[in-house]
Amino acid sequence: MCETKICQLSPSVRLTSFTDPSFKTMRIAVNLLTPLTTGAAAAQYAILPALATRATRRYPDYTALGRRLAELYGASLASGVQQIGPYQCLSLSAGGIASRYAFGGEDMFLELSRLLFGALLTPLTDEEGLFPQDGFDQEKRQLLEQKDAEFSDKMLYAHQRCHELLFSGQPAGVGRAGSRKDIAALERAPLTEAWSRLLREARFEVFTLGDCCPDVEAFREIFAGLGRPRLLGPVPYWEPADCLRVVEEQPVAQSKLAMAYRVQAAPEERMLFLLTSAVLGEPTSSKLFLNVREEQGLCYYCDSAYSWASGALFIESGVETADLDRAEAAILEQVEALQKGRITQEELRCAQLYLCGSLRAVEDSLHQVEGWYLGRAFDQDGLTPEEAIRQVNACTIEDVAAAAKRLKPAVAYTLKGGGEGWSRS
Amino acid sequence: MEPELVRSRRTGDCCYKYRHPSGLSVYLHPKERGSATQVIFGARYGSVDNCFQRSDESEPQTVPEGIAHYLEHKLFESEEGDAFARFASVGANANAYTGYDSTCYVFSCTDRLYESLEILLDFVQSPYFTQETVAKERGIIAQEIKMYDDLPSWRVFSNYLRAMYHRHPVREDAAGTAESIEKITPELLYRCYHTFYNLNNMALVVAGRFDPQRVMEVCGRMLKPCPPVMVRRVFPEEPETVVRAFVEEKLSVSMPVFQFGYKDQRGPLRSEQELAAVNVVLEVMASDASPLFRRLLDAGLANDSSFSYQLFEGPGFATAMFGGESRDPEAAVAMIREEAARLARQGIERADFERAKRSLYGDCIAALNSPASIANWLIDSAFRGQDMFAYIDALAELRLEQAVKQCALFREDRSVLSVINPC
Repeated sequence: MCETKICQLSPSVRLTSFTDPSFKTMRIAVNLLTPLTTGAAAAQYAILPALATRATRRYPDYTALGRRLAELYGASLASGVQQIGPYQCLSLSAGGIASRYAFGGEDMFLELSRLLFGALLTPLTDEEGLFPQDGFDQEKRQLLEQKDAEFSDKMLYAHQRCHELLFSGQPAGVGRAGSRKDIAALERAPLTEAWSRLLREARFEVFTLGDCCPDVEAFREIFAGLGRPRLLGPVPYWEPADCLRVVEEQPVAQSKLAMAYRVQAAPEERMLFLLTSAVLGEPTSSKLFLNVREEQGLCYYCDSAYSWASGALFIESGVETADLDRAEAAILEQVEALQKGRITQEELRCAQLYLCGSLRAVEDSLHQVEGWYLGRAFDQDGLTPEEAIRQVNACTIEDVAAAAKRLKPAVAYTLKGGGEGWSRS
Repeated sequence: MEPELVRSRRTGDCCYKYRHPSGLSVYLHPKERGSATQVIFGARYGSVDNCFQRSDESEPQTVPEGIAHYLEHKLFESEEGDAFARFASVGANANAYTGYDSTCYVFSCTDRLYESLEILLDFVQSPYFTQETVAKERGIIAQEIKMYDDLPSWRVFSNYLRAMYHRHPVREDAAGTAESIEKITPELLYRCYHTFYNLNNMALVVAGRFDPQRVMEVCGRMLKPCPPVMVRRVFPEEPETVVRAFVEEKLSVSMPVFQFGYKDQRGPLRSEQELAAVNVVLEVMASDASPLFRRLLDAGLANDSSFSYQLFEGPGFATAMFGGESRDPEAAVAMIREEAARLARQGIERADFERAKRSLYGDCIAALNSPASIANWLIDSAFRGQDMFAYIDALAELRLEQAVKQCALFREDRSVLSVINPC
């Protein structure tokens, strides 16, 4: 039996508890949402969750904490940084097995809560009240290496470049952790104040998930006085003047195409645009898969994805350098077909089945439950996966075609294979 | 047809095992709640099986590299149309993958399970290859190969295997090369299909929310009995030594990536107990809680997001590996070698051993949450001739001396370091 409860602990802190004892694990997560402003600020916030979770006052050494987590049956105390539209989402979480499997008799919810809330509320500091030097050096290096790794993965790199170009000069273009230069400029001293500011200024989305049940009043007490109420939403819309075309060369075997379209969509149209993307290029029944890959054999992957938070639809593919023009033309042909309503009932039905299957499976995974309700903090508060399914199934071919017509081409980025040089940005 | 009911006394989970009259092994892991069901229909046939001899033939035959993977792509097409389209029409998400020692066809769904199962069992048993359709697929597979050519994590692993193995086919890329796939014909595909896609050489796994009886009814209706074909997989004799201790390639990356490990000369696959023992050793040696990982971090030679370790084992090959990004792979590897030598010399502390067992036990419990991970675990175990619940028991009952014994695989003279450096 599962039960989802949403409780506003304060104007700035919301607790979503998804209790389902059929899960063999549990997860407690605290997501702090703050608007992206500058690269420097993004980098400063981005390092904080990792600093807070790498060691605690009770386990002040990275290895000692690692040993405690191993003793707790491989539990995790983790951090994360992601961009959700114009917001930075900084997360701290603890996860582990359900107490009934802890043969040592541990109350796992209690153990995980202690670790997580210790890291959040009383992070480890040195005698000067600063995050310890060794931890800072480590996490700064690792954040830089994560940034560099984005260059090494060419699918990811092409997507990031397309995203950067789409939102160039805007807060949404700052990225989840700022630029490499912003990270390299980080200093330890201001971080303690940045942590306090984050706890004061962020909107909190707290989750307990799986085989656990929180004491709401105890949580209310823990989060009392934290955060600031914020209305969340997607990246503001502006009409792209022209489609920005950028070609870069690198010595790679396969070229990448990454195209972005902007769209002004109301919150209640989210499912419509997700469906539009599904008809175009997500399941194996989609236009891009059937025509660009299967029919013309131009690529191994050619996918679309709608980002409701960015107000954008992305199309990405890996193609032979000599076939770049053909592949782009083939993709544009499918977009045009969509916009002109050349959509069969079968294409629509398959896309609806695909999307509804994903929605029905939301409650099969604790991470997906968290993702769903985190999304609800941005729009359609209270929408359940079942209601979303009804919205998807109510869409018609005409609705999809009309939605597709509203897609405005904004960026066409090409990472062209065969190039000689490259430089790290 | 009576199933064998296997229940885990540690987790409470249960699994039904059947030997269908057609010869197919069927594993059913029902869950009481959840929406999704994961189904895998697999053949014990992977990229290493490119030289084989059937019991009704006098000579072994060698086929082009990458043919198992090519077959996987082409099987989705039949005279009636494309299997992807059939799955899409009932709302199932289908996919497939070819490994070194198996090929698996997968779908997940939240509705119309039994119709999707019919499609799966039908298309995998209905090969249809023509000159035209085989030729058409070549471009798509060539692009898949090129995509992997740019992936540093794949290249470093591929080079590692090539430096480690002299002759064993695990040294060749699972998808083959642009040249080798040119040699693949419909005739060769049919030949490999009829040799390896015999139900006696295959397994079906279903995990999630479903009625076992109805699954077996579909199996009874759809499975086409076939006489077992005995196949001898022919592997060239592999020396105990490695080809070369160091291999390097330059790619468009921002920092070096490395893969380091030890070649293990193996006959049969490790038992559940031996597998648990190696996993405990690796956990003791390189997990977040280990002194080695701490030293690597302190020296700036590894990072949390990319460092990994695992045993990679299949028919005729086995290696314990460590890898990730590092600004100085050779310095990182010097630390790994030092720790491996220390463990081989001094053994394992009891506290570290117990902690590692607990951590791996937690991983097993977590893996039993999701139909997808259960299904993957079941099919891997089936092809290894093992049982996932027996693995959990073996881990719980593992003794320190059994783990210590596995430290012998860290043979300095059988190690390989593969590095991808920025160009």
